[in-house]
Amino acid sequence: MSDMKLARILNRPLSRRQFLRYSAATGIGVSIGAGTMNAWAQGTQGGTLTWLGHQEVAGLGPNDIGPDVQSSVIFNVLNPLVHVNYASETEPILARSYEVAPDGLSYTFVLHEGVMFHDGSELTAEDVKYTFETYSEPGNTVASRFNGMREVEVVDRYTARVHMDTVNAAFLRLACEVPIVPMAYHEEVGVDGFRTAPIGTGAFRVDTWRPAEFTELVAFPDHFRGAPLIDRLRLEVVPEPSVRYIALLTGDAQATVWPLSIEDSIELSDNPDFRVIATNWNSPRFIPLNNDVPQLSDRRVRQAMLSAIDRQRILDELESGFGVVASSHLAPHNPFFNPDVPQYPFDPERARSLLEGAGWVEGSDGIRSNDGLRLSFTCTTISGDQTRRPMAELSQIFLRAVGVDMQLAEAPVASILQGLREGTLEASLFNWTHGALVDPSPAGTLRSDGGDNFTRYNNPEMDRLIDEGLTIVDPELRRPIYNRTQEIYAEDVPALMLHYNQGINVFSNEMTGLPDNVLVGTPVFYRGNEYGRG
Amino acid sequence: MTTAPPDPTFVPAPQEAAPPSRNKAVRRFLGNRMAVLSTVAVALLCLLAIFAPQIAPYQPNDDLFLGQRGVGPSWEHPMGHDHVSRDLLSRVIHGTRVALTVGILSSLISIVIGVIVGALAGYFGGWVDEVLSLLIDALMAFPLIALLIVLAAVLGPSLTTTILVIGGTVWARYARVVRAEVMSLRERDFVTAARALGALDRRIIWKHVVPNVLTSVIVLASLQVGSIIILESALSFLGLGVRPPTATWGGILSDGRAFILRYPHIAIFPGVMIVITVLAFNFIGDGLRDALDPHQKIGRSK
Amino acid sequence: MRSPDVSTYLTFRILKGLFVVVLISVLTFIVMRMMPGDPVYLLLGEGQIPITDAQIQSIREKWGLDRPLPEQYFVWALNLLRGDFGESLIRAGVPVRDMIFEAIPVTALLNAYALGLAIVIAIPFGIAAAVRRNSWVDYSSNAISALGIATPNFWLALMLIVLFALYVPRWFGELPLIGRIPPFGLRSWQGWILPVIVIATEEMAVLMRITRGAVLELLPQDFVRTARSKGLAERAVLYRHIVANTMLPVITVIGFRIAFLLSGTIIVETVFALPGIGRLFVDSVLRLDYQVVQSLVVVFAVLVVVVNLLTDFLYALVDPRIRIS
Repeated sequence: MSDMKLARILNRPLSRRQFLRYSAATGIGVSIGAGTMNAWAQGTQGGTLTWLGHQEVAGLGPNDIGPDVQSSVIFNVLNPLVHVNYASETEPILARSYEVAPDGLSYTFVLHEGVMFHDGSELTAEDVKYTFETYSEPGNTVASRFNGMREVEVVDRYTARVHMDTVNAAFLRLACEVPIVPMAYHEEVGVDGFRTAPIGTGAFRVDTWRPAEFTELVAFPDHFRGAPLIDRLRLEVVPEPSVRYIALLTGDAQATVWPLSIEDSIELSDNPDFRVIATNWNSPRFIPLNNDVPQLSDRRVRQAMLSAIDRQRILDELESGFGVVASSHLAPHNPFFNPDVPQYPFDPERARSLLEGAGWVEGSDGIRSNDGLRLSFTCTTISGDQTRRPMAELSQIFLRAVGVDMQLAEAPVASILQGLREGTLEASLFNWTHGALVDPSPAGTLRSDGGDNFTRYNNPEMDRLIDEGLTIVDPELRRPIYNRTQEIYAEDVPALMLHYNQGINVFSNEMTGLPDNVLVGTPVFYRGNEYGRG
Repeated sequence: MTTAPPDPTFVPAPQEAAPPSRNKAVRRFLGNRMAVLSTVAVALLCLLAIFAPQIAPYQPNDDLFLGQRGVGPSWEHPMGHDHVSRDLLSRVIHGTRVALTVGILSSLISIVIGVIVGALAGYFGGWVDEVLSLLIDALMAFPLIALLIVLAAVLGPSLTTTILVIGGTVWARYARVVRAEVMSLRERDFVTAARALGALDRRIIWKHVVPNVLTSVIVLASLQVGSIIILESALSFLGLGVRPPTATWGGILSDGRAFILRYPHIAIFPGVMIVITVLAFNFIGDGLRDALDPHQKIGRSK
Repeated sequence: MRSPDVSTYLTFRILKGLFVVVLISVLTFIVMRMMPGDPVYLLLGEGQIPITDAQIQSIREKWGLDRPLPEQYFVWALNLLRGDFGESLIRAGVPVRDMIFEAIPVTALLNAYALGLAIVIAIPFGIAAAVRRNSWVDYSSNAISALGIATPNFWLALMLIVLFALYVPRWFGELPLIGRIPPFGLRSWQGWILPVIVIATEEMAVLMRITRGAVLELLPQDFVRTARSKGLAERAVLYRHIVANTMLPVITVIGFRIAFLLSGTIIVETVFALPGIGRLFVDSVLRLDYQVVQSLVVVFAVLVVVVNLLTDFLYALVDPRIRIS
């Protein structure tokens, strides 16, 4: 019996992969409006939708919008001015329209009229000004999203204009996603008070919030886009992936915000009761290498290592073939992606000759050394990370084959991030965004003085290009700059970019009104007002 | 004197009577079928650990069978493959090494610390006892897992760390048992006599007190080895155990957790090994207790 | 037990307990700060956004993390004495006290139910195993307890979930009386069933061993022999003397479980998604949520000290041979 099941799973990948790729790629250009209409037509009134997350909802304020599980709740309670939606398009929410000045130094937002907060007050430009100015204060997690902002001008009751000191091409994407809070209430409770009892313009208000257990939202009938179809929206925190899978099968939940294991997702894509949406992640899985460590400081060594790892094999072995091998710090589906950069196909011979050329000769134990320095370092993965540690284990074997010794260790996330930021760790393995649509080469990650420059990478040309790119608004004028940053990145190999994996979200057919043209997974969960319980 | 609650997994053998003759104890132990069977099992496990490279059919870490992720048992691979498509049998065999090394070395460390601290506290009493008891109480009241996490994080995970960390934290149980026993021994005739004859404290402790406590310690140790092996798996569960890709039962078990529905064999085989080992050590412990406990036949005389 | 002795003894024990608590709080404080890593980085989250040193600095200031360590300790300890446990770093705005006192009932009830179930099963079995020594009852109880101790509880938990939440309703429909067992959470009373069984299995194993050991100790003792020789029926001897005396190990186990509460059920809480104290504790350690960890450890140190005191008194109460001096 188990053999048959096994055969089924093993035979599956090709057809399944095609299916998922198809679902990920179809429908580009279909307008959002159509999706919305669709939802209204299909939905049934009432009921509760339950979604599953993997970690606690630590807070419900604008500072908490980073993690996927938290933003899936928050964006149903609070709304931003504009949003990059599931189709990767900039969609106005609270703003009826917005305008970017040609010089990129001011943004004008015209708000919908008659938008009500849950406490019955009306949204005005004052609230926008208050939100932007409060949350750009240092000490807020979202503060740096507002880099370059000077002030917010209230033009009239429903018009707000943001004035910039410097051009920040990422402003619309980053700052305008910070949800708007009601000034009067927020002033009363403060930042920390607000995140425990938020009041927003969203389609739901918070009913019960038990961070480690569940968050239950209840419909807000006066929502400006119309009352939601369902009565209640519940996010349950279920850390164990196998239990999330079972809960979907038993009908205890209708969707999972955080992916299941790849094998479980494949299994469900075969089940007619479920819809599986696969989207490509923006953040690559990569091995950041500390470029300050002597044995890793020569880029020929890093290039050799990248050639030594069979990255497609890692995808085939551990991800059932889903995902694409990375060639630069940008994902192939990013509009700024440059395919013409130096490539590193799996080639152990090339790796060996690169290492020989750099003066690293094999010792008696098979590990290379150069002037008494061993080509050995430690890669620290996240404690209990059962998805990515096997990737480090496979890479270790590939690297040893060419005489590079990569030791493995584990540590909690907090110590890994600190160790990398302070240069005390040699390498790690996780996902990290290296550039989104509006900011294809983020200073924080790639600039020599960036806060998240995990590789301690330092290339003056890269620094200069990053600064230049941020001052240009027109995408076509920015393109040559980002073509070049990707080239430099691929030449220098500051980190070993493994692949862009697919995020797979599973939805039960009991959840109706899902959009069709999904390119980005998480924003699907920001539209709780459109879904019904079938 | 306070009455410390006895250790829950251990009822110390009372020491009123002189220890039974060695022959009698051996005979009694050999009469216990389960204990003998378990001794054989532990001996086999030790052989497995020592000759792991010779016995294991494949390399535990480096032999990859690509495309075989999670494939179940077959003739060539009796335990199937793990989630990185390595041969599970070879990994489980090599895991025996870590399990026994950690179980035995950590036990030795905690016995040495526990006996010394317990004997000192029990023998000298007074402020020595107060200070040491405080230490024991504090350690027992401190959540072990936090200490393990922190020590492992500070020292960096490795086999040595795991042994030191476990050994350095579980000794409080030995110390408690030894202290209580030494206290009652202190007042006994042969100790008082030795003291009256002017023997040095150090000599009395080594010659008279420690040997009398050892039987209890041995029994407790045989019961503790099992829980230490489980503790190692808890550390691996939290990512603070022996460094990957070193094969350990705890490590394989916690790797298998993510695949428990899809590839259940990954967690089952190391789990079965842990159960067998713990069972064997427990039966040996019971056998030893019965064999060394003089009251089984004599009965308690007051 | 004359009263002046008792009160001196009590005062002494309480002072000693207080000292242990202070010692532990200092230890925890030092140990948490020795953990590599900085919680501020976790607050800042995912990396599309550049982070400036000024921003990190201002977050440190907000939480007082820039102050000298002794000062941080005393500020925290003084607040604690006033009943102010501080605020969580990660769940800013939520008082640590609320977090702790919301999580305690979950874990406490879980353990209480499990212990109850374990007692009902383990004590009769443990006694039977001791009385019929080296019989199949003895061997099987020994094997069952070893299995209970050695079976990884997450494995048992997941197997039970698959079986009772997924397959049983599929094969047999809803169970009579019990109804539907959910795969996770405590939304209905049925949610308690599986986690309680998992914890009880482990507890039962320990309890069975202890009961067996305790009864073995008792059997050859004078009062049992006397009772037997007086011609009391075997059954009466068993019930009147032995069962009463097994109260001791039960008390020990309860005391031990309370000390173990903080980390003992972490895995069960994680698998069943229960918002208990174990998960709160381990999550907070890994996230370096200093205030939460420190306060939790102190609360539990106090609990352990009190429980130790209580068990000692209960001992004296149950078994008059044990004297408090």
